[in-house]
Amino acid sequence: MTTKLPRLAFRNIFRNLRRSILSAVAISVSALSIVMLFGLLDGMEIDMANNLQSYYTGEVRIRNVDYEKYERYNPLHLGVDWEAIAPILMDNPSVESATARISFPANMYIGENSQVVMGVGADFSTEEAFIDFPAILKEGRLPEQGKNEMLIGSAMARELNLSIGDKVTMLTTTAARGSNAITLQVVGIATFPVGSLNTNMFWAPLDRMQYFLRMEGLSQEILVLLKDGAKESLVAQEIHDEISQSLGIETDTRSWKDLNIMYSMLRIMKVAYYFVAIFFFLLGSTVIINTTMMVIFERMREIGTLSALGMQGSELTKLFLLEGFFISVIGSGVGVIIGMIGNYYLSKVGINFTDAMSGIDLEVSSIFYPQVNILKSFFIWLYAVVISSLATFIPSRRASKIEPVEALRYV
Amino acid sequence: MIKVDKVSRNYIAGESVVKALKKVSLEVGDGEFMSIAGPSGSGKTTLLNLIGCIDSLDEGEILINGQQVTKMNKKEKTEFRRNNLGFIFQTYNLIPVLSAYENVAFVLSILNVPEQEIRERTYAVLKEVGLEGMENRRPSRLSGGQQQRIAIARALVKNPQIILADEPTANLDSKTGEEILKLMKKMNEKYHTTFIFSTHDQMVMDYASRLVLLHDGNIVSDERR
Repeated sequence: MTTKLPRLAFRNIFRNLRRSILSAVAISVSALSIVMLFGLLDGMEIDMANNLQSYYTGEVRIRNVDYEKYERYNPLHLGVDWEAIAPILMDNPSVESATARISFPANMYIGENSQVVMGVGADFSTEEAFIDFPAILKEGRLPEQGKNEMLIGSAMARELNLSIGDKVTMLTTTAARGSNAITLQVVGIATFPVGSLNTNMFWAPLDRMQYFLRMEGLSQEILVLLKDGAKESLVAQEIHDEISQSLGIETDTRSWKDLNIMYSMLRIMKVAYYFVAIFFFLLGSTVIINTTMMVIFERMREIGTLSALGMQGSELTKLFLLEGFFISVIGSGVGVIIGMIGNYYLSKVGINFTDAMSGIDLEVSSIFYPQVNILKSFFIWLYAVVISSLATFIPSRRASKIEPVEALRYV
Repeated sequence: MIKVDKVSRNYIAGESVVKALKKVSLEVGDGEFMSIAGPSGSGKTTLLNLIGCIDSLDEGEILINGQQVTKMNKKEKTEFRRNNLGFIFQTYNLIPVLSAYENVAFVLSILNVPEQEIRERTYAVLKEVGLEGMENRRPSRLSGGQQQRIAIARALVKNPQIILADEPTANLDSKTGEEILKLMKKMNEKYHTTFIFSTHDQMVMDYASRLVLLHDGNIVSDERR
């Protein structure tokens, strides 16, 4: 009986091909949507991780232990000693590279107008490990140490009508809580992936910003990249302890995953989407359920005949379950394949959310590149097949409850 | 041997009760070729369904080869039908997506007969009912008579003790109907299988070696020829 039932069930799906196709399309659309949604979320997660590690926190971030407490006051005096900490980091076998940065708000004066911008003091030689500057640099060059130069985002250049060679004056509050101004020359224009980096951020040499902000020898934060396979949280703790032992100071040293709520939320969101997927597949399965119910009524006499011939109720249930299973396998298979092709295409061309994301301060790039994940797509297919087959079980069970005499009388 | 003892079967039709069978008693010996005849609504199909274990009675009992089938639950009845009974229906009731061969072989596959044996028995029975060379045709490509031959082959292939046929010639022209009757008679004589069929066709009644006449749920005559 094991071989006959699947064969019969498979042939039955061709009895009303149009209806079977309709059922398959419903589950196919659900599978396609989920594959593309997960591809997009995967792309977003990777993109966010890359941006966070490159532009915001590194894999481990070191700050003065009190900085966060007074962050809203821009407490630049609560810095960390890059010169003292760098050797400790380099001795740690898990550390790949490190860089020091100072982020600060400033007023940018152009003619009679001023605009609030964020400045970043950075050592471009050590930043190479974090940011692929050649890839994002659209015009000019990177600022050089010891020179009053700056790199700006392409959106800022466009909006403020700035070009290479232009000079602008920045006014800010220093670490000594006084005011200071500096005039910087635009030497480079870059297109940063994140909207906010592109529109209101300038990058200048670390040594000039230390001087400008009265932070000689200090930096606001140190960003660390780790070697492959290193566990961020463990290494963060290690670094914290090493600094504490060597220098006798407490630092706020945390891994990027502990620092970024949005990233954690994105990961939680992904788990939530697995539940959303169940509803998607159940929704798609309603068409199969409906089809199975109709089929049972249409084939009532056949059910009666099969029962009279000696087919048990469980075998009748299995027959209709198999029909639903085959439709699910084919439907979700087609959906997953189309979804993967769609994701592959979009992973090459990207989805441009620049307009939609303008004004949103999120660490994701304006252009999303969905990911193609074969293993995950296979699981989505399996997931769709299991859920829709289980859903078909409900109407299929009805077949086993039908009395053969009633079924044979059915017109 | 079939023993029907004081069997009653009532149906509810709206607010009234239709007494389809009223304390009917009957004994059928092995290898009989028996016809249950009577006008529409006389209870012949009900009696056939009760003997075929596809309906439940309200009163009395039915014993087939000493087994009290009326006491069996649904699963046991199905198992009993699977092993002991063959059915031939008025509208053939073949599975349209299966070929002639597959329709017949399907019954053996339910019984978990080995594949090689299924092949041998199916080809043999199809040859016997005159369908050699048509094994791969689907029912839709066969005439009514040919479809009923498949149904007979399907009933015969598992060598059941009893074959129940509900108006087996009603959908056939008289010539084809007679051919089908001859075939059933031949099988009855060759394999000593008990054939019980319901009919209101005089020609079918003429072929029967025993004629039981039902009227309003009662047996009004039982004639052996």
